[in-house]
Amino acid sequence: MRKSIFFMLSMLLIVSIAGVGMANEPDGNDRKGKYTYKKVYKACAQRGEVDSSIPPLSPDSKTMAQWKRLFEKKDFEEFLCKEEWSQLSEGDIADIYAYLYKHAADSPTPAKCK
Amino acid sequence: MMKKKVAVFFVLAFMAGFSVPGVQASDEVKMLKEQLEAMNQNIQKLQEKIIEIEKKNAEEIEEVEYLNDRMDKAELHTATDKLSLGIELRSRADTLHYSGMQAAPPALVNGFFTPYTSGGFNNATLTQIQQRIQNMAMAGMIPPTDEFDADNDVIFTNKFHVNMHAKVNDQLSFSGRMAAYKVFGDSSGVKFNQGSLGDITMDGNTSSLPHGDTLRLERAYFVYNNYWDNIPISFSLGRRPSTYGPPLEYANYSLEAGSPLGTIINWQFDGASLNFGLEEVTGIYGAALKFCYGVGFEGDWGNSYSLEASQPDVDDVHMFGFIATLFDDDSTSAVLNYAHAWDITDGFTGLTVMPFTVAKDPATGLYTFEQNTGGYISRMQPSTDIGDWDAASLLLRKNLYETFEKDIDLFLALSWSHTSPSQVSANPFYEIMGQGLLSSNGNLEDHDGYSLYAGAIFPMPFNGRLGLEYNWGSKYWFNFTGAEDSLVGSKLATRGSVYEGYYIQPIFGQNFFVKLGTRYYDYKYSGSGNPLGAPEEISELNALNALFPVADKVWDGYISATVRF
Repeated sequence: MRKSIFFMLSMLLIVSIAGVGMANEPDGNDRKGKYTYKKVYKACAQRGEVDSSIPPLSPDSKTMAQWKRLFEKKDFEEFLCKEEWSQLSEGDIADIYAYLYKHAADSPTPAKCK
Repeated sequence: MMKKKVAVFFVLAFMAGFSVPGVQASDEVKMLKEQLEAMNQNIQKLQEKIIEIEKKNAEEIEEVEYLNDRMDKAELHTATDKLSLGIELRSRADTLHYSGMQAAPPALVNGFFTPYTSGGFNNATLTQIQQRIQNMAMAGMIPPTDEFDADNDVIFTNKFHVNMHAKVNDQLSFSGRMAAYKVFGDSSGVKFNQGSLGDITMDGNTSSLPHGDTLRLERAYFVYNNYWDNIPISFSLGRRPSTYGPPLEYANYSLEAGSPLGTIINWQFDGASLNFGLEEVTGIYGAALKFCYGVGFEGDWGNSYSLEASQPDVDDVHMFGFIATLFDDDSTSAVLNYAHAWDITDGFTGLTVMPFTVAKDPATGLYTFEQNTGGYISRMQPSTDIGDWDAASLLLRKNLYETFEKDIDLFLALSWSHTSPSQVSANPFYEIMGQGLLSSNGNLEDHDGYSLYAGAIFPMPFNGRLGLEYNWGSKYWFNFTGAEDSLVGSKLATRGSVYEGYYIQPIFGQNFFVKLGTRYYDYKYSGSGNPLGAPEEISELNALNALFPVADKVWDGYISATVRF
């Protein structure tokens, strides 16, 4: 038994050390990005530009590669609510990117905005 | 004549104008020639370039045609396949250690195979058996239990999910999941019955507990979305997403994977739901109300009962409930889940290996007991409706990021259950013990049960997550969580306490992570997760309460690697 467990632990430890940090994911905080993203559309809806406070694009509206391209190009037209987007800091945008990317249609945990 | 002379003069003069500086004229001609040559060369180069461009253009046209052809195929493929697939594979090692196990001693168990006329229970009527048990109790002859420890140093499992999803259009979607879950080196799909519902391969747990290498249908449902007077409505029908519900997503390192709260329902079933999004009309973040309906057991043709008059008179088990999201702004949430089930049965149709069999001769009323020395598989089926069940659970969750800029999750679930037994089971085994819904010796009384489940999840270096959880259940606590992913038994059904700690380390984002954890069960009462029989305090068990082994304390250490994509 001890041999088996020792073997498993060793394997996982090696894989963990080798693998941690390899993920080519955005640096932003996806949790914070989710809040910020929702906040943008609440403000935008209150201003009257959009009908619903639910964002028009959910994370699963695009693939990870498509989100990557969109944020690299900084082409935020599709998101509407230009006024709110223009007020976002680089950090806020990075967080939103992390949220959308990590829950993209082809991610392990695709998500919709509620 | 005069005019001719004048003309000749002018021509000569004109020619003289050019020819007089003879050297200058030849240079210019030479220059013109060079320019012409350069032009010729340029034209030649241009022609070459044009040829080259035309060639390239032709190649590009060919390439575009080729790509178009490929794109058409891809488009056709996407349009006709209609289904996207995802995979989840988890390999896990558990080390299981049971201490203080209690079981009836062989002296008592053998009495069931001894003829009544020789002092045993075999070939006796119900009255004779019960009278003999009563006499033994009065004479203090019911022996104490045997105590022992049991270990399984290491057990490996593979859990495999194929997730399916299709968006038909903006209003219609489909989701499904096929699942296989097996122990390394075992594909029997049928377990030895130790007295737990988890030991029976049945509809409620086939995909959620190790049952061999068969791929089974865990979920398959469609969702239809529409609006009713500005209220978003969704209707869903099929095999439900009724397993791994909140707050189990923290330990699963996933998003919410089911609808009902995992504290009261973690059980596969078929049914429907109707959801109303109430955020806009109430102004309350995330407010929603979902009505759920399900059938936990089909009492007629569907479960291979015969159409003869002698078949057990068992009704279908229907369940109804609602899930009310009282508030949810992603940082704080409160969800209330209530469920009611009518006519719970004394078991569910399934397969298991029984340690012994009990049969009743309908003509003579005699009970016979036989040891299952050959390890034969028994088909279990309900024989009686034993009563109704109610349960409610309130789940409160809070993420501390907005408050403290720390990604800490806290949750607390308080739950209640109520059982109303209607009659003693007609199953021969339970009948001789006078057992019904959480009752024994024919004492059919209503009971309330309570449960608490709390947890905290902390961020760790390299995006790791540390989770600490505790849950407690009272004496009469009963829920339907038999599909909980545990080799020991549902921790959320425990009558007693369970402590758990785990560390999740992502290796390649959410695609690949490892988890190391430990869980400690401290049972206080018998029969956790089982609807039959009155719970007895573990410290006061006698041999008749322990015909199936009763666990006291269990330690489960585990390590797993999961790949999702």
